[in-house]
Amino acid sequence: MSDALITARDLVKEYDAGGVFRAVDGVSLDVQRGEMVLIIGPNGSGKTTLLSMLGGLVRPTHGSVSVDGRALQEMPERELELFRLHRVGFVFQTFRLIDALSVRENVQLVVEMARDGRPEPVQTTVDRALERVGALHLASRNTRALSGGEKQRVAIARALANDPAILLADEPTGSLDSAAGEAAIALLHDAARNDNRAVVIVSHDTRIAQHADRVVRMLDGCVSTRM
Amino acid sequence: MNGRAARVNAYTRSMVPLARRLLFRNRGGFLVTVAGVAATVSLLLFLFAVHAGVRDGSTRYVRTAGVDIWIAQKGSDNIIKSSSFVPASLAGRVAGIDGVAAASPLVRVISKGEIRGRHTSTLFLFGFDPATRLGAPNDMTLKPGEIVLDESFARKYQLRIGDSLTIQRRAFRIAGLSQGTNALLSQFGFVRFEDGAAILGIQDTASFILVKTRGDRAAVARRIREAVPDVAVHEADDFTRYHDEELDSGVLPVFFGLAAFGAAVGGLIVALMLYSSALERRDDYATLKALGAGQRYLLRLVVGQSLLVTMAGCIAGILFMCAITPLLLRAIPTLVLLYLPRHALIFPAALAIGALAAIAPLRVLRRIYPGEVFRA
Repeated sequence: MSDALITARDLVKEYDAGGVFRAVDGVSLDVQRGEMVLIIGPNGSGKTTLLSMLGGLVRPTHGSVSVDGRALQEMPERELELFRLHRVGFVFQTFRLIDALSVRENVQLVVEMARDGRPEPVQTTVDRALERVGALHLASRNTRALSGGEKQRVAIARALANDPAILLADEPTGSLDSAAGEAAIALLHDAARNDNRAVVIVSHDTRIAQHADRVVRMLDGCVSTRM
Repeated sequence: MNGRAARVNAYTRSMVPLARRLLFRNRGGFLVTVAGVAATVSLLLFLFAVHAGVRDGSTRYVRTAGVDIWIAQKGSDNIIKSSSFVPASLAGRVAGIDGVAAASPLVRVISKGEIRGRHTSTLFLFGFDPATRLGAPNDMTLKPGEIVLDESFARKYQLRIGDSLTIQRRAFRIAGLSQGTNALLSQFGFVRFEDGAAILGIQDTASFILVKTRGDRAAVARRIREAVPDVAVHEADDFTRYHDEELDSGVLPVFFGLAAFGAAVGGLIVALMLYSSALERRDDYATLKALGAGQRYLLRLVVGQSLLVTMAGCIAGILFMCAITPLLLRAIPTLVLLYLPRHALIFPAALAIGALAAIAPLRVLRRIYPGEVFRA
């Protein structure tokens, strides 16, 4: 697919765990704008490692990941950091909100980091992101006082705040009840459909498959099935 | 330019105070560290104030005794830490030298006093000539058998004007009190020359000859050196400087050693707090890294925390010293604390040490791997 936003080729990731352990073994994957891809598989199948490489958090041992034609493995560390800041939004199973900050501040932080001191209307951007996920009314609340569903909404707002082209979610419904999980899936689906983002989700939650454009099943570090 | 500055200022004001929030998240650690920095700053302020007080107390008398030239025994250049014996009659010879307005002997006796059967701490007793008043601590006129005592010494022993103090079995009536005559380890007392000489018990002996000049002081000093070559002739400015140097060479290294030790302890307290905070907030730092924060951003964050805690410690230290200084002076009457504007340099120094302490968690931060965010 020549117009893919993310192009991964022959990705291999090896770890030294008292011997070489191959977490991902020759995976190739393309993800287009507006597409929602679900990666499923048992624990230890390499899903999260693959997601980490797609997001520039981990460098592959072999193979390549390109976003918009730019090879991540060739980027110096600072450029990779900027790539994550501007081009990728992350959603985590455990939300990873900074509990010392309020809801608004959690979102504002990444906006400020991305704007690098330029005097744009930060609050407008933050409010828009919170409003988008229906969490604007929570803005002044402390994140410790939120329910799991509310936390995940805020985490999605933070992921969307810098208008990234890619949204990567690791078990986004793993810590949520079914209603909150449905809401989170809807937000991620909306980010792909209406905002034309490439959304890659790693999950055990089969409900997500109904919304995904494609499902990739992994086993022992390899892609076993594409649906 | 102003508009841009105002916009940037407004932007900065609205920024997320992450450093402060991370600090306050661990209130116990924050308060303990602030207390540690405050204790260090208080210690440094105390040491420098004591040093300045001792320096002032040791030299103010020399500076304000109204003397232009001090004549001492060869090799003697101060009144505190060197002995000096010259003939008292030398004053008459010096008085005849061209340019000398007045010359008189000053005798110094180092002795304990006795009050109600109890010995006091050591006094530096100076006997000056009441006729010329050279070497007198103030404008009081002393009668035979009277003494002017350092005010802090009198307070220490609860002595008042009119009370009696015995020195070498001679009773003196306290006629007045002097200020700026406290060298911390010993205080000064002043009597008439003949009383001082009687305590010393050696005929025609003085410690110094004090000279008041007319006209060019340097020229007069030169003439005295030519006329009396076997004594040391010190102009007042040089004599004061010798006291400073004597004090600095003896006491300053000790004070600086203590100050450096205190500063190192303060720096280590801040470093320990930052290090443990980095370990404790590892998840937050990993999240920041995953979201795109660079090492420089994290360094700024840690330095920000360090400066905040150091500033809070400095303010607490100042407030503590403001509160405790009057109590200390009341509890230890001979303590001299002199706060000088240059002591404010402690605060930029503390901030610099605090910023330096931010090096401690750098290795921890560098080793935080952004992929940790995927660990549940």
